[in-house]
Amino acid sequence: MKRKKKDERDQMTFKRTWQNMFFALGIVWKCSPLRLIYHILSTVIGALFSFLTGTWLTRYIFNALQNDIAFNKVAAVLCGIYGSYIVFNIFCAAFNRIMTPILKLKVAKKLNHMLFEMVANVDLSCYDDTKFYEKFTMTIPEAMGKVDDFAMYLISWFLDGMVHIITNAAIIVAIEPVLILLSFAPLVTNLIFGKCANKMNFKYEADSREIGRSKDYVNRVFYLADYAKETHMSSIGTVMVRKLSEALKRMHSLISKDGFKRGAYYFFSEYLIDYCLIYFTAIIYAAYCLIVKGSISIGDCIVISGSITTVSGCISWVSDTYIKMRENSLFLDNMREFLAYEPKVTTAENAEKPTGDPEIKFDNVSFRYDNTDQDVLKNISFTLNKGEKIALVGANGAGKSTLVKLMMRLYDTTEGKIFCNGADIKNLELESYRDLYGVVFQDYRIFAMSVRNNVLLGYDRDDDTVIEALKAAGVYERIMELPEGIDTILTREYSEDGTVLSGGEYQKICVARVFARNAPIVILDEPSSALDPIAEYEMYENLLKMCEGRSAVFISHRLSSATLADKVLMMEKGEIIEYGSHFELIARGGKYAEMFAKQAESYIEKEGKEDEE
Amino acid sequence: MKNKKEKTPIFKKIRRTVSNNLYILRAVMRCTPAYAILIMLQNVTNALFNVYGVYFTKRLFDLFETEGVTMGHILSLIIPYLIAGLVLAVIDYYLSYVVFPKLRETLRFKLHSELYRKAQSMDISCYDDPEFYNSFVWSMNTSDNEAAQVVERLCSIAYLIISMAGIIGIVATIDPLVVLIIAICVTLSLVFKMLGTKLGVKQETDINPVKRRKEYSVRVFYLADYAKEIRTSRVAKKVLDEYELAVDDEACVIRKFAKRWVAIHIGQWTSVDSIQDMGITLLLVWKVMSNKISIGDYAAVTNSVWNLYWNMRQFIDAFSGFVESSMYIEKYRTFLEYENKITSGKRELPKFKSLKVLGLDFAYESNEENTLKCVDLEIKRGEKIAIVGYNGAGKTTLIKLLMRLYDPSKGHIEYNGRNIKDYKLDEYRNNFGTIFQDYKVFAATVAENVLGGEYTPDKEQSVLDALHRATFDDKLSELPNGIHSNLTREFDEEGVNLSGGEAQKIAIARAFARDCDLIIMDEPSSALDPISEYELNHSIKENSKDKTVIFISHRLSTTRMADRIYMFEDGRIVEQGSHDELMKLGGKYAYMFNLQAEKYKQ
Repeated sequence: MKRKKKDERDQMTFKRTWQNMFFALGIVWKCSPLRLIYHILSTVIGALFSFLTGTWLTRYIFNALQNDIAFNKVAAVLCGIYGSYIVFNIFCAAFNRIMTPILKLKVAKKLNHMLFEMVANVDLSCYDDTKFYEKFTMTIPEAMGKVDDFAMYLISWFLDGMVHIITNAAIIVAIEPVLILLSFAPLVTNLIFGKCANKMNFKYEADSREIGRSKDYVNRVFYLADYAKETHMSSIGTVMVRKLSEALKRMHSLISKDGFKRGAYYFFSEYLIDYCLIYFTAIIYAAYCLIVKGSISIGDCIVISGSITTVSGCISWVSDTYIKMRENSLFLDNMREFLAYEPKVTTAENAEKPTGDPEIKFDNVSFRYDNTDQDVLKNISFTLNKGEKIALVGANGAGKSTLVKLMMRLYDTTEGKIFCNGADIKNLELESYRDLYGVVFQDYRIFAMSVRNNVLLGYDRDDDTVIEALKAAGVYERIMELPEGIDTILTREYSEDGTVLSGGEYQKICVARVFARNAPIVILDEPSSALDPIAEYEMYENLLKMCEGRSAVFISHRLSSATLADKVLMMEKGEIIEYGSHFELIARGGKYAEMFAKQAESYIEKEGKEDEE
Repeated sequence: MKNKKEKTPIFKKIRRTVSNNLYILRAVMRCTPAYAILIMLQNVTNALFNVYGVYFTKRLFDLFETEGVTMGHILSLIIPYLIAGLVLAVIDYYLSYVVFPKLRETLRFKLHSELYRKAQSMDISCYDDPEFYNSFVWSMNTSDNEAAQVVERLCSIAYLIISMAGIIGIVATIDPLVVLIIAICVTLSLVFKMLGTKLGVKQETDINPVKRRKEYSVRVFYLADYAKEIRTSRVAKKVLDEYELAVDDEACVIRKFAKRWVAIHIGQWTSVDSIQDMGITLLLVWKVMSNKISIGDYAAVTNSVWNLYWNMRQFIDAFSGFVESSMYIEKYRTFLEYENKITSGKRELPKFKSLKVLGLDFAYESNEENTLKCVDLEIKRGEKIAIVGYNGAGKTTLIKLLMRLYDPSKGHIEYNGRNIKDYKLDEYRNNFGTIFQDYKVFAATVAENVLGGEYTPDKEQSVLDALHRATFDDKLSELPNGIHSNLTREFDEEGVNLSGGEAQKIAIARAFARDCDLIIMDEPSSALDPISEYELNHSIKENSKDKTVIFISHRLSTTRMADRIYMFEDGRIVEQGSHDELMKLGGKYAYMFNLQAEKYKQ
C-alpha cells in the first residue's frame, strides 16, 4: 500500500517533468517554430550520421576486408557517406552561426517581454514574501537560459542518446541478440542504487555548500574594502582564520565519511559494472563466438564490443539527462507558478477614475503582512484634507512607511477602508489612482537612462515640462552644464560614459519628477542618512517647494521638519497615539513633546538648559 | 628597430611565464607537497596503462586472426589487463574521491591563510587602487584553483608525453604516415581554433556593452529596490523599450560576425575532423587489402587515432594554459610581493599625553587635488574634540591619518612630541578605539565582536562592562547564550541578526572594551531613532569622561560638549574654538548651528 503510493508520486514527478519540458519547448515553439524544428531535425540527423560513420561503416569495412570486395567499391561507399556528412556539417555550421543566435534572441525578447510585464504588475506584498520573491528573482534572470538553452540542450541530448541506443541496439540484435542484455546492466544498477546515490550526492553537496558558505564569508571579510579598516584596527582576523580552520576540519571529516562512500559507489557502478563487466564480458563472449562457435566474423566482433559500450554509455547518458531535466523541471515549476500568479491589488470591474482634488480618508484601517500574525497597523483613522500637510513621526518600525504604502495602494488593507473623495479606493482605476501621487522614497532610484526619462519616468510630457520641472527643483543649471543637457545618460550602470551626479543632485531630479507629473498629493519619505547641515537645509528647501499648493505626507525622522506640517501624526507600534498640530501636541506634553524636547535640548541656549536642571 | 623591440618582450614573456608557474608550484610544494607528488604518480601510471590499452587491442585482434587460437590464449591476454586496470581503478577512485579533495581543501586553507595574513597588514591605500584591488580580489577568490591547475597541467603533460610516445611507437611501426596525417590535422585545427579565439574576443568586445544594457533592464525588473518606483510611475514601459533596443543591437552584432564564424567552423569541421577520419580509413583499408598490414593492425590504429589526436591537442593546449595561468599568477605575485609603505617603527608606545598635527597635506593616490591642506591641530589628554564640516570636507580622511591607516603626503603627526612613524605600528593603532561610520559586525560571538579578537574567560568582565556602557544590556538579556551568542547567520543557523541600532551599539562597545587612551567616533548616531540616539549620546558622554575623544559629527547638537571644535571646509580648518567662542565669532559654524537649531526654537 505504502509502496504503491510512493510509486505514484514518482510517476507524478515523471509526468510533471515531461509536462514542464513540453511547456518550455512550447514557449520556444510559440516564439520561433523554426528554432525548434531545426534543432530537433539536426540532432536526429547528426546522430544518425555519427552511427553511420562510426559503427555501420566499421562493420562494412571489416566485412569487406574479409570478403575480398574491391577497394574501389569500398572507397566509393566511404567517400559517399563522408561526403554527405561534410555537406550536412557545412549546412549546420551556417545555420548555427547565422540563424540560431538570431532566433535565440527572438525567443529571449518575447519571453522577457512577457515576464517583465508580469513583474511590473505583481503585488508589492510579494516582495515581502521571501519564498515568492526568491522564486521570481530566480526565475527572471535565469528564464532565458533555462527555458531556451537548457530545454533545447536537454531535448537534443535526449534524442541524440536515444538514436544512438536504438541504432546500436539494432546492430547488436542483428549480430548476437543475447548480448543486448548486457548493455542494459547500467540501467539495472541505476534503478537499484540510483536513488540512494542521488540522496548521497545531494547530502554531500548540501553539506559542503554549507561549509563553503563559511569559507566565502571569511574570504569576504578579508577582501571587501568595507571590512578593511576594522581588520586593520583589531585582531578580529585571528578569530576569522580560526573559523576557517574549523571549516577545514569539518570539510575533512565530511570527505572522509561521505567521500569514501561516494568513491566506493562510483567505483562499483561506473567502473565495475558500466565498464569492466560490460566491456570484458562482451569481448570474451565475442571471442567465444568467433573462435569456438564460429558464428560471427572479426568485423562483427569489433563492432559488437564498440556497440555494447555505446549503448550502455548512452543509457547512462540518457538517464543523466533525465536527472537534469528533473532539476530543470523544478525551476520551470517555479516559473509556471509565477506565470500563473494573479495580482490581488488590481483594478476592479467598472472602476472609475478619481476626479477633482483628492481628499484621502482612512477609516479604521488595520494591516498585517501575509503569513504574519501581528498587525503592523491597528485601527488607523484620519483624513488628509485638500492641500493639507501631515508629518508622520515615531520610532523606527512604528509603521510609518507601511501607512504610506497603503495610502498609495501598494498594498490593500487587511481591515477597514480607505476613501478618496468618498469613493473606496478599491473601486478606482489603479493606475490613475496611483497617478495622484508624486513620491520621493527614502531609497529613491535613479535609472540608467537620460535625465529626461528620469524625470518623466514613462509619462508622456513635452520637453518644456521637463525643463520647467528641473528649474523648479533647482537643478536645471547643473543639468545644462552636462555635455548633452537633458539627454545626458545618468549613472555608470551600463556605460562608462554615463554621468555620475552627487546624492543631492540625484535627489533634486527625483523632486523634479513630482513637478513634472504635477501630482496633487506628495509623499515624502525623508532620508535619514547622513547629510551635512547645509545640504540638509537645502534638501528641505527643495522638498518644501515641491509641496507648495499640494497635499503632502512626510515621514519625518528629524522632528525639526514636523514643525512645518499642518498636522503631526505620532505613531507607536502601529497605532496613532497623538494627532494634532505641532503646537497642540507640544502643549499636550505627551510623547511627541518629550521626543521633541530631547532633540531640541542641545540646540536651546545654555541658560535654558540650566533652568531646566 | 621595430623587430628588435618585439623580440625582447617575447623572450621576457616566456621567462616570466616560466618563473610565474614555478612560483605557484613552489607555493603548492610548500603547502601540500603530497598533492603534487600523488598527482604526478597518478598521471604517469595512467599514461602507461593507456599505452598498454592500445597494445592490448592490437594483440587481441592479432590473436583473433591467428590460426588455431584457443580461448586459453585469449584469456591469458585479457586477465592481466583486467587485473592491472582494476588495481589502478581502485587507487584512482580512492585518490579522486578521498585523498585529493582533502588535499585540495588543505591547499586552499594554507594558501588563503597566507593571503589573509598579508591582507591584514597591507596598506589601506591599496583598497583605493582599483588595479591592485582587482588583483587582490582575484587572489582571494581563485588562487587555489589556479595553483591546483598548474600542478595538474604539469602532471598531465607528463601523462601526454608518455602516452603519445607509446602510441606513436605502436602506430609508427604499423604506418608512420598515419602519425603524419594526424599531426597535420592537429596543426590545422589549432590554426582554426586560434582564429576562432581571436574572432571571439572581437565579438565579445562588441557585444559586452549591449549585454550590460540588457542585464541592467533585467535587474531593474527583479530587484526589490526598484519595485516601488515601478509601481508608482510608468517607467516600466521605458525600461522594457530599452531592453528591446539592446536585444536588437545584439542581433546586429551577431549578424556582423556570422559569416566569419561560418568560415572558421566549416574549415575546422571539413578539413580536420572529416578529412582526417576519411583519409586515414581509406589509407588503412587500402593497406589491409593489399596485405601490407593485418586486420589487428587496422583495428589497433583506428582505435588509437582519436586517442592520439586528442593527446596532441591537449598537449598544445596545456602550453597555452601555462601562459594564461601566468597572467593570473602575476596578480597573485604582485599582491604577495607588495611592500607596505606604512611600516612599523621600533619604539614602545608610552602613555598618551598629546597628539599634534603639523602642516599636514594629504592626497589620495588617485586624486590630483589634496584632500587635506595644511592642517594643524592639537589634542591633549582628556580633551573632547569635535570635527565638523560639510560632506567631503576631509573629516574622515583626517581620522584615518590619525590612526595611521595612511601616511601624510606632507607634514607629520606627533604623539607625545615624537613622529608617529617611530612607534610600533600595532601598539600605536591599538591605542585607538574607533567607531567607524560604516562599522561592521562580524560573524562571531558577541564577546569576540566586542573584543575585536579572541575571547578568554578573564576578559568576561570587561566585555560586560563595555556592553553596559554602550546601553546594550536590554538586548543582551534577550540573547540565548549571553555574550557567547553568535551574531549573524553566516556560521550559525540560530545566529542573531541585530538591527542597525543594536549593531551600532556593538561597535561602540568595541571602542569601550579596549584599554585605549583615544576614542574616535565617526558620527555614531545615524541608525537610531531620536529617543535611542538621545540615550546613547548620554551614555557615551558619561562613559568617556576619563578618555580622550575625537568625534566627527553632522548633528551639531553633539558638538556642544566638546572642549574644542574644528570646522573643516574643503580640506582646511576654517574655524576652531569652543562652541561659545565659535558662536560669538558668528562664522560658518554659527551659521550651520543656527540653521539646525532654528526649527527647534520657538
